[in-house]
Amino acid sequence: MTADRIDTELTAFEDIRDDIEAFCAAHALPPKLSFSLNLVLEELIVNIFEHGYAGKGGVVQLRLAREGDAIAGIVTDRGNAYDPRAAAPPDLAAGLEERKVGGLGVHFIRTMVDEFHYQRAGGRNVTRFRIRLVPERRAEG
Amino acid sequence: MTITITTEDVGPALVVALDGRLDSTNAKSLEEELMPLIGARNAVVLDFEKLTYISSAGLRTILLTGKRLRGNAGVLALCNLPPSIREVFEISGFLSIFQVHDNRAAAVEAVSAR
Repeated sequence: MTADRIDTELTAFEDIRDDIEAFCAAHALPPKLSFSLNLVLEELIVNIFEHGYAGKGGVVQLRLAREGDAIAGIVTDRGNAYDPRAAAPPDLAAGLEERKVGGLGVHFIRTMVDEFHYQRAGGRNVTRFRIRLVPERRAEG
Repeated sequence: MTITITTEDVGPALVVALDGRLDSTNAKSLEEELMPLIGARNAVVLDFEKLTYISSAGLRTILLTGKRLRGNAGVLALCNLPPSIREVFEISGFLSIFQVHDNRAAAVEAVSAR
């Protein structure tokens, strides 16, 4: 595996933490983008181990590569059907005492990716995302 | 890379500086290290100047620290948030539940002047 793409299997997020940093360095990603990519991957993968595999352990496959003007990721697992997009949004207005952290991870993913797809196929959860290297310039009015 | 903490007493305040990345692999151990240090104290500042990364697992630890201080009838203040960390706090709605200061002196003053 070269640092400019990742195609690997892991049994804990910790297994690929350094590889993600190496990937960001290999593509000279700006700090903000590198932060977003780290966050999206951590939240996705930690959620799979927690929900898809219900904390009982399992294997997650991660593919990460640059595709044109975007970083494209595919995360696959054989855990319980789990659509990360279906998670309830967090209550961002709650005060300190009633505030919970649940749901924040998916909220981060939604905020930071440009595309977010999920499908259940052949007993596997397949989650795909894309993060554009340059924010899309939308034509004004 | 993981996370290390350095503590300092400034007047009545306990200042804890975080150095490194706070994620799902070390958030729990930081919590276990931090809670006994806080004990019954009611004025705590977390200095994020050298914090390079935080995920929702890390935010959970910050939230628990804030709740602990509230339980002690005290206050937690945060300072020196690097831009990416500040953005995560903003997206989380955490900027409205924590006192955030530009520098350590302002944070120490805010938790001490009570």
